[in-house]
Amino acid sequence: MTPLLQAEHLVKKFGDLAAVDDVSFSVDGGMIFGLLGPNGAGKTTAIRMILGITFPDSGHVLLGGEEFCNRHRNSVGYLPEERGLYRKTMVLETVEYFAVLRGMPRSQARRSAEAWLKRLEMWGERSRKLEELSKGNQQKIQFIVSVVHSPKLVILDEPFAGLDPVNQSVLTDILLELKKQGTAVILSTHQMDQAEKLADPLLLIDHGQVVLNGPLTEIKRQYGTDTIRLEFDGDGSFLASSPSVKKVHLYENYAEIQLADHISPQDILKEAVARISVRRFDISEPSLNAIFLQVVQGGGAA
Amino acid sequence: MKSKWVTVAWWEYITKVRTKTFLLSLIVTPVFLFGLTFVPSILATRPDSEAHVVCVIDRTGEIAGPLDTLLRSRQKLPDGQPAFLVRPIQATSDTAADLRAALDLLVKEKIVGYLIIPASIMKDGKAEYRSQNVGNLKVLSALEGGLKDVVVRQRMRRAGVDPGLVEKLDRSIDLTALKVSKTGEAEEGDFMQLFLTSLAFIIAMFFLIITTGQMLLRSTIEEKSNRIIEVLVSSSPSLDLMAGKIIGLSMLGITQVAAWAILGLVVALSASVVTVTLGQLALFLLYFILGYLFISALFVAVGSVLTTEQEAQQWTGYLSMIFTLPLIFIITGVENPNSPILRILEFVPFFTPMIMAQKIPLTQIPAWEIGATVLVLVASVILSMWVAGKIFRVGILITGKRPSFDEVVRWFRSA
Repeated sequence: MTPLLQAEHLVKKFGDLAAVDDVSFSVDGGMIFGLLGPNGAGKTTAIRMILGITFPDSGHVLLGGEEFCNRHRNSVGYLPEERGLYRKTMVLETVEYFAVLRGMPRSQARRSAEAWLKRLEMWGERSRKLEELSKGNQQKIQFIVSVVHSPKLVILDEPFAGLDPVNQSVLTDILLELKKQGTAVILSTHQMDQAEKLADPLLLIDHGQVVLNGPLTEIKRQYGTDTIRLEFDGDGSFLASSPSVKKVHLYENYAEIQLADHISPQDILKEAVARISVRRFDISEPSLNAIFLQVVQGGGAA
Repeated sequence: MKSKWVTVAWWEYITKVRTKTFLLSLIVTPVFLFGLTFVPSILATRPDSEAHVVCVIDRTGEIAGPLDTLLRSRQKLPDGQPAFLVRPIQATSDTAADLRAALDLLVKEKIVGYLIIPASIMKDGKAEYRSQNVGNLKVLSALEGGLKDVVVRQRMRRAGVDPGLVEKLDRSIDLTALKVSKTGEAEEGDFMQLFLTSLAFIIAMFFLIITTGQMLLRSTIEEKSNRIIEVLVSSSPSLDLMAGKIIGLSMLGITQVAAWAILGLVVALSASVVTVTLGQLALFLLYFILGYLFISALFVAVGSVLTTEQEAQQWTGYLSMIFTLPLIFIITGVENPNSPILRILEFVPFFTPMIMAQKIPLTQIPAWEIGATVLVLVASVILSMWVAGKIFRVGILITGKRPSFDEVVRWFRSA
C-alpha cells in the first residue's frame, strides 16, 4: 500500500544556504510522526513544501501516491508555529470560513465547527471576536481551524506551546483520538518529552539534513542503554570532571550520565555516595532529550 | 467544485462591509463631499444682508454721482434696499489730506473701502480701490463693472452721443449656455452646474481611492503580519486568494459608490444643482468599476511586498497620489474637456478613470473614445492582476526586511 505522504529527496535553497537538503520520509494514516530538530534546522521549510506553500527546488511531495496539486489542499490541515487569525471576526464564522475554504460544504462546515468548539469548551465563546479571547483560547481556535475539515493529514507545529497543563492533556487526548481514527499527524516540536510520549516514528533533522529517522525504540537501542539517571542532594559538579564519566547532562538535582569505557555503574555509584546524598539511581535507555542533545551537539549520528 | 475565489471574495466583502469604519465612510464621505462642493457655492451666492459703504475720492467731479445712482439701481439687497452706498469725499487740492480722511473712515470701519478716481480716468481708464479686504470678489466686480459703465457713458457723452441713445445701447446681455449633443438636442447647462457635477464625480473617485486604498493594503498586511497567510496559502491556490480578495474588496467599493450615487442622485435631483443623466451615471460606474479593479490589483501587489502598517500608510500616499494626479487638470477639463492633453492622458490607465469621470458630465465623449479607453483599462486590469498574482505568490510569505526592487523582479521571474 502506498503511504499517505511521501517526501522524496526534498531540496530547498535560499541563496547559497540549503534550508532543506535531500530530506526523504513517509507518513502513514494512524501515525503521529515526530518531526524534530533544533531552531533553524529546516523543519518549517520542510512543512511548507509538504503543504504547497512553497515548492521544492528539487524532489517530490506525493499524497496518496500522486504529485501534490491544488486538489490535495482540501485534505491537509496546518497549525503554523507562528499563530495568527483574523482579530476582528467572530469565532464561529472564522472556523466555518476556513472549513469552507478547505472545500467543506457550508452546512457540514457549520456542524463540524460546532462539534469541535464544544469539544474544546469554546462553544460559549462562539460569538466573541478573536482578539477578545485569551492567548490559550486563541490557540485552541487555531488548532480547531487545522482539523475542522477532517483532513487526512494534519501538520502541527509546536501545538503545545502556550497551553496550560489541563489543555495540554486535552490536546494529547485529541491527538491520540485522531491517530485512532486513521488520521496522519505530523508533530513538529522542540519539546522532547511530548514527542517521546506521543510520536512514533521520529525524524530528526539538523542543518537541513536527516540525522535520525526511524521508530522510537530503534533510535533508543541505537544509542545504547548506558545512561545512568541520578537524583541527588548536594553539589554534583564533580561529575563533570570525574574520569569515570564520558558525558554528563547536569541539572540542579538531577544528572544523566554516560560512563567512560570499562567503568561499571557500581564504580560511579560508589563515587557518588562518597560525595553527595543519592536519592535515586537507575540505568536506562537515554531520554530522547539526551539523544537530541548528543546528536545535535555531537555533530551527526554516532 | 466551487471555485475558492468565491468563498474568499464573500469573506472579504462580508467581514468588511459591516465594520464601523465602512459604515462611517458611507455617511461621512458624502457629507464631506457635499460640504466641499456645495457649501462654498451656496456661501458665495448667498446675498449680503447689509449695505456696503464705499467712499469715493473723485477728482473728476463727474463720476461719483452717477456711480452711486447706477450701483443703487443695480445691486440690491434681498429686502430691496441698495447693496452699495457711495459716499463721496470732497476732493481738495491736498491729496494727502483726502487720503487721511478716507483712511480714517476705513480704520473706524464705517466703510469697506475707498475708490480713488484720478482726473486722468477718462483717458487711461485707471482707478484705485483700497480696502482691508481686497479678496471680496463680489464687491470688486460690482465696483469695477459700475465704474466701467459710468466712465464709458461719460466718454460717449463727451463724444456727443445722445444720453438716451447711450442708455438704449448699454443694455446688459444675458448669455444662456446650451450643451449640444451630436444628434442636435440641446440641453440647458450653466457653467456652475457643470463644474459642480464634474467636481462631484472627481471627488467621489478621489475619496474612494484614498479611503479604500488604505483598506486594501491593510487587509493584505494584516494577513501577513498575523501569519494567517500561511494557512490561507496552504488551503487554496494563491490566484484564487488574490482574485477573491480583489473582487471582494472591489464589491465593497462598488457598494459604497452605489450608496453615494443613490444618495447623491436624490440630493442632486431635489436641489437641481447637479445635472446628471442616467446614461452618464452608468458610464461613470463603468469607469469606476474598472478603475477600481485596476487600483485594487496594484494595491494588493504592493501590499504583499510590504510588512508593516507604517510602510502601508506611506505607500497608500504614493499610490493615491498617482491616481489623483489628474486633479491638476480639473480647470483645464472644465474649460476645455476636449483639450489634447486630456485626450492623451486619458489613455494612461492610471489616469483614465479620473479624467473620464470628469469629462462625462462636461462633454459628449465620442463612442470610439469610450471604447478605446475602456479597452485600455480592461487590458490593464488583466495585466495588473496577473503581475500582482505573481508577486503575491512569493511576497506574502516575506515578513522580515522589505525586499529590494531586484528581489521583487527575481520573484516575478521565478514565481
